[in-house]
Amino acid sequence: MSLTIKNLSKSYQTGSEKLAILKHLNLEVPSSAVVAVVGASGSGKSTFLSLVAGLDSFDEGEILINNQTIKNLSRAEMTKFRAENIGFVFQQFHLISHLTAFENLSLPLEILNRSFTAADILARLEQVGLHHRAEHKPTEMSGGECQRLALARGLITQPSLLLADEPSGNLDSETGVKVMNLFFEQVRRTKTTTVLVTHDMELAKRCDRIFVLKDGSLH
Amino acid sequence: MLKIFFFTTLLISQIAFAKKIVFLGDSLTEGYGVAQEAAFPQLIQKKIKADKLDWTVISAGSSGSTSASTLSRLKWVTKDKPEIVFILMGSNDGLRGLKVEETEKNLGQALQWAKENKQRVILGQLFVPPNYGKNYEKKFSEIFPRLAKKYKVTLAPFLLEKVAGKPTLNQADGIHPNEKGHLIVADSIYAFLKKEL
Amino acid sequence: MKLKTLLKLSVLELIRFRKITSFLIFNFTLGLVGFFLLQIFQQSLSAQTAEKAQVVLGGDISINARRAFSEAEIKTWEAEIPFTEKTHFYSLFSMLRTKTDARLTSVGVFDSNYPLYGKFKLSNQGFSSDKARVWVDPEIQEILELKLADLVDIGEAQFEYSGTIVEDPSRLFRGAGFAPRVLIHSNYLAASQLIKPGSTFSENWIYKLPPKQNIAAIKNKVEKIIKDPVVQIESVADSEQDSNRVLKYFTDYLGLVALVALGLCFLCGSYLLQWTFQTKKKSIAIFKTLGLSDRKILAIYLLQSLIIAVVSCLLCILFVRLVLPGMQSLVTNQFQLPIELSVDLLSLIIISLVGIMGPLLMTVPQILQIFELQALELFQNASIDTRRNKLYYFWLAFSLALFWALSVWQSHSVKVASGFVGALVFLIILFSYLNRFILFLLEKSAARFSWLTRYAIKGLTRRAASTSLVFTTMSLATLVLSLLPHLKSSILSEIRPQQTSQIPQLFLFDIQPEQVSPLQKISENVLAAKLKFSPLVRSRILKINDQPYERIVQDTGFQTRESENEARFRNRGVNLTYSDTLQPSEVLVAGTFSGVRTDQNELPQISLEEKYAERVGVKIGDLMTFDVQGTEMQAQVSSLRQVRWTSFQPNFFILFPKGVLEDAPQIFLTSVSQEMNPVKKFQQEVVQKFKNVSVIDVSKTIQNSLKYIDQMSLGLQMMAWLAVSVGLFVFIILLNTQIRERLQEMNLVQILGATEAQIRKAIFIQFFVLMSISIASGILLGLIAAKLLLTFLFNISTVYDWQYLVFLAGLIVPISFLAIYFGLKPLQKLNPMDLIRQS
Repeated sequence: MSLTIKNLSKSYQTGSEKLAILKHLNLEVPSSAVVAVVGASGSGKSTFLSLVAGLDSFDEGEILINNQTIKNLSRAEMTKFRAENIGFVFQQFHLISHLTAFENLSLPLEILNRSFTAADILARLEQVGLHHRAEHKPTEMSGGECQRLALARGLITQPSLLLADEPSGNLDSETGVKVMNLFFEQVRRTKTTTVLVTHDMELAKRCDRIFVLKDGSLH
Repeated sequence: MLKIFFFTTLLISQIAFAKKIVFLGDSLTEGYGVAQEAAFPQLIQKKIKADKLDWTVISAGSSGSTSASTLSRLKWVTKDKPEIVFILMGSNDGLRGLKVEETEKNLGQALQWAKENKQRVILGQLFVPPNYGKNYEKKFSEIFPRLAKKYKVTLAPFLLEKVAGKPTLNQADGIHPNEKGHLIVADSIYAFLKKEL
Repeated sequence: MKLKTLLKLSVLELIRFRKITSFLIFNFTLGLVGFFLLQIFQQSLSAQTAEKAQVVLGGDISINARRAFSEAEIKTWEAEIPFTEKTHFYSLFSMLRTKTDARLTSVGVFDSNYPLYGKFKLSNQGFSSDKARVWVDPEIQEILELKLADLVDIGEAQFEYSGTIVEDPSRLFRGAGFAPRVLIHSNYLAASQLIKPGSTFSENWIYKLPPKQNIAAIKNKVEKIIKDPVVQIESVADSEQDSNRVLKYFTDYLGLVALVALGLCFLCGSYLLQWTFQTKKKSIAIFKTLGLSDRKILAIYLLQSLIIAVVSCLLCILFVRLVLPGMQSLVTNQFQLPIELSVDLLSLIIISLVGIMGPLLMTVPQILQIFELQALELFQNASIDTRRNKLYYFWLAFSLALFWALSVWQSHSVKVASGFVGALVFLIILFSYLNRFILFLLEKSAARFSWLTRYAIKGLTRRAASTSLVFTTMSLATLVLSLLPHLKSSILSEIRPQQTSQIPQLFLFDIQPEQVSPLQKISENVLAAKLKFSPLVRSRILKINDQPYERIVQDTGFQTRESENEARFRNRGVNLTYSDTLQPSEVLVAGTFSGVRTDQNELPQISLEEKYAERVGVKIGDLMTFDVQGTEMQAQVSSLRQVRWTSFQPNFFILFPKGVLEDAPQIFLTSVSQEMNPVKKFQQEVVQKFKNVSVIDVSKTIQNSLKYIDQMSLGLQMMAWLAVSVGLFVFIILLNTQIRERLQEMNLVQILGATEAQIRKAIFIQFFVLMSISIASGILLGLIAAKLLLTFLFNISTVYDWQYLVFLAGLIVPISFLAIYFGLKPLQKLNPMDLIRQS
């Protein structure tokens, strides 16, 4: 299993009330599988993502990524674990605006101190159709191009788990479709275990399994 | 073409035969504030010329000088062998309130040296303004006849006799004669000097 | 939409961004407070300068001559002077006699009205006319060993010694004469018979005018009535000019400091506004999509700026009101400055205008952007660079013009203001180019470093606009911080000697050649020091380049006072000196000075003081013909010198090399400096042995003015620190906003695997690089700017204050680190979850 979630609960304290967001949630995602987590606004998708990414602590339960529990990792250990095992694709792309496409793509490798050649990076850019954009900055690229770059960045460290948060949410429908085509092609080709969080059922249908987040648990 | 002068050898390039008279004095002689030609020594030179006398006037005035410098300056001006040295020193001693004994001593040394070196000297009578006080005024003015008598030199009357204290004849400082003042000074000195030449 | 709704929207937004709002208010308040306080200080100083001038002159207008005035004369001019009070006094030299001794004194004969401003400070009792009394300088009391109620003679009258003169305001900035001062009442003038035909004296009439009179116009009228060029007419304005050059430097300096403080705050405010605008863009776009017209959005933003401005202004005035009494006591008690700090209506109006117009004006660039901002921006990721359109440049020019006008008002000089504003503009342009160049170099060299450093440097180089703004602001702040002390030290060195050991205590003149070596012996015995004797040779300038130099005066007399003064100046004769070396207080500015005349066939090569040469109209290579007491001699000008007259050493306009004037009749001058202790003994011995040598005790005069300068500069230092703290505040704000700007990026970098330590290091590198280059270039350019300002505006030579630079660096570095430390605080709250939550 690439991702196993057992009995996960998370609540927030708001004033005197305790607001339970996730209640005894369970999930198993086998290696190379692409699953969708869908849910309405406020159903706890963001909380779910934050917990899986190890960005927030949870009340009870367990999360195993690559068969390793992340519960007991320190902040620093989690940062390292996350960088090595989890890739991200955000709705807002979150590229570094002053770095070129090439630099944005190579940054995760540099942070992890992994060796790479310019050719490697260019090949990756080629795969997402951005070979000609290597020296351009995100501000000079279209939304679709940005998200393609973000996708390439999410995969560049060969993570065991890719977390995608509404990747097409910030794109018009035509571009969204094109980008998502590339998305599925890439994750399937690289056999990357993927959790796609979205509210778009059409998109979800292209995944191997669909989980609906409702009342704090997956159905 | 520039003529080159050497300081030590250049004591006035005048006609060698003319007799010389040197005015050895302070700012009054220097003509402080007026052009050299408007100062009394040069005015006297003009009068001498007009009278067709064969004398050359040399003006050795040094503003601010006191009687202490008389002897050394007397030695300096007599290198050129003048016939007469007209000493007009002591005003600044008086204006600065120096002790009259000191002034008398300084002038006396110069006159003594002149006597020894057979240099003919005329000593100019000087006064201090009345505001210095009758006592000081009297003591100061008395040294000149005493010295003249002692060293047997001619005593000339006070050169500012008709000028001192008259605003129209003096510059703004009230001490130094202006151009008109110098004309009068020259007149009164020449009236006396003519007999001596 | 009604104004009320607009107001509500504006206030709501201000409250929503309350942190930034209070930041802005604080910033503007600080700038205004700095400006206001300096302004008050400067104005009070000028008022005090004017008062001092009145005190020095004894009144508002003075008419004097070295002769007696007739009743008719006095009546004519008094018809033109609308005076409220007058006084009449004489000044003359006379001997003061005791039973055993006599001394020359300068006698002041005053009536009971004198002085119209200020007061005599006399020991024992005030100036009175109950009987014939005399007050004397302490010097006279000491020499004549006077005791109270001793009787002394002045002229033909007897006076009772009634005490010493402790302070005579009219002599505060005037040099000592060669005779000490004594005071008597004019009621006893007649009895003393000091004024008789032949007496030399000056008669003075002084008038006090009602306030707000045009003194210059009155002076002009009086000048027209009094035809006699011998009569001097002086007004407060003239006396202000010549006796208070020192104060003028100080007030100019203060004016610049005030402007710098204000300019820094406005620069910072402008930056903050722009920064705020970036974060507010979205809400503007929302307003636009909601159908709000550009004009109304503009109104909202203008209203916001207006609210901020008014609040800052009120806070500033309130604050100044509160601290003024404290400052006053500091100024009076701590610095002992006789300055009364007061706020007048005009400064209040100016402050309000500056405080309200400034922020409004600074909003203009943002307003221009509002028009360009498209609602589409909401949906776009890219931020559009502010386009610089014509209106923007118009705004820039307008703001500059206003700042210039303010500078003119502040410095009372178009020249100073233009130089100041010009230099500022030049520096900003220079800094932006310098910044580009440095960034280019950094980017080039980045490849060599680790990813972290590379990434950090890219964070600077790729944000050219923002980096440039920070760089320029910080460099400018550093520049002014480092510039001010150089100005101050140069002004101080101009008006006071650097080493107190060189301040002379005694001046000795009329030393005969044969007295030089015995005098030197006394000095070696008593003072254990060698004196430096300067020879003085009297001469007249006859010709310059074969053109007659002296002015022959026609029988008709002089047309104007100026023409008389010029003629008298030319005919006055000059003092020559000779030496083989220049004095420490002299610097060659052109040509060469060989020191010794070696070739007797060549003309002596002489050196002239720069300003004197200018006045006489002589250049290098010109020939001058002198008459040295009956002997004509020619010399050639080979060099020009600058002389620091405040070295208080004997200085001369015309310097000959050795080997020319040695045999000419001459006297010598020398000065005895303070460090030599047994000066009194030396003085006594000299007075006794060399009766002709005049010894003037100048220590008191010099000490007095030095003390005043020191107090003044202390006060100035305080003011400069005010500007410095404003600069440091700007520093901190810039750092803070810059770090905030990077928070989101840091979140991302953290999610990509960078540790917190790495992130902190990256940010630290960025700011370390940014600050070190800003500080370095600020300090460097501060040195250059100081040189330019001092040379071209102040016209004085530059003296760098290196000590302060070290001090400044020692201050800025820790403060920067503190600022970075606090600026990095938000990093602890880094929360990559924000990346997801934003969705």
